[in-house]
Amino acid sequence: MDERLASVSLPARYESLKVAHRILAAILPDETGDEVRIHLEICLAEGFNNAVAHAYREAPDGVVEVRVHASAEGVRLEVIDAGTPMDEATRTRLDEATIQDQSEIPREQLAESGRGFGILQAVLDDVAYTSANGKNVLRMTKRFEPVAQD
Amino acid sequence: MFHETKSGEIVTVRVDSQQLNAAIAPQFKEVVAAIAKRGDRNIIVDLQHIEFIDSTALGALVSGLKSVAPDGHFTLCGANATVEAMLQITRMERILRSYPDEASAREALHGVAG
Repeated sequence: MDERLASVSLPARYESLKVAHRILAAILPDETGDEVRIHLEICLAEGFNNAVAHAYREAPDGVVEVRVHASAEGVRLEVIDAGTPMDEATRTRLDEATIQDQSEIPREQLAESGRGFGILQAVLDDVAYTSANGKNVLRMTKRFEPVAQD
Repeated sequence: MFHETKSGEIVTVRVDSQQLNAAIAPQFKEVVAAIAKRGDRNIIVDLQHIEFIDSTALGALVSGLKSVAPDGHFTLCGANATVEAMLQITRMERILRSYPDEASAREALHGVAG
């Protein structure tokens, strides 16, 4: 397939996510399976909402740029903000996040937050966060399974 | 935004929004906490209108589960494929039980809640 690339700059508000999802849907190859499509929607939402909630916590007029790049190899999502960068501890949490089996945890001890990064690491092949020149970039990569040739 | 009905021993909260996200999660938590506080122990959250859920809202569902009495029940119904995927990725599907519709959720609760 041809490479496809789209970019959109959106107000840093939760309701902007719908537009970001439309861009993703337009760029994804038609043959993308439902599971991969849904997983990418979830990851885009986590990255986008994280920028709204944290990078722009003190700046409600912020702008979040979403870039979607699709090729035969896979999809790369970038969420770019110009807000407060993640601190070192948060970046370490992002890098090391996992999803634990929850079924043995007593009800009262279940966590009510902190699953977003684990979702990204569980679903994606690569998650990278960089901050330079006032821009913070969360790059999320999902590689397609190679299709067997006839 | 939240439509509450009580029938027998079960309270159903229908979320009349397309997204259950960080924007409405705090309000959702308050609604469920108020139901639990007045002593209702069996809650069904009807997600039939929800197209999308984020991890903050998932946390609000966990909060709802924790707010019901230890012998109470907190279940979901009407979840679409995206909500189901979210439960699966976060390995919550055995903690937050999900039924296709309210009728089947009520039936399951009657089985355990009497």
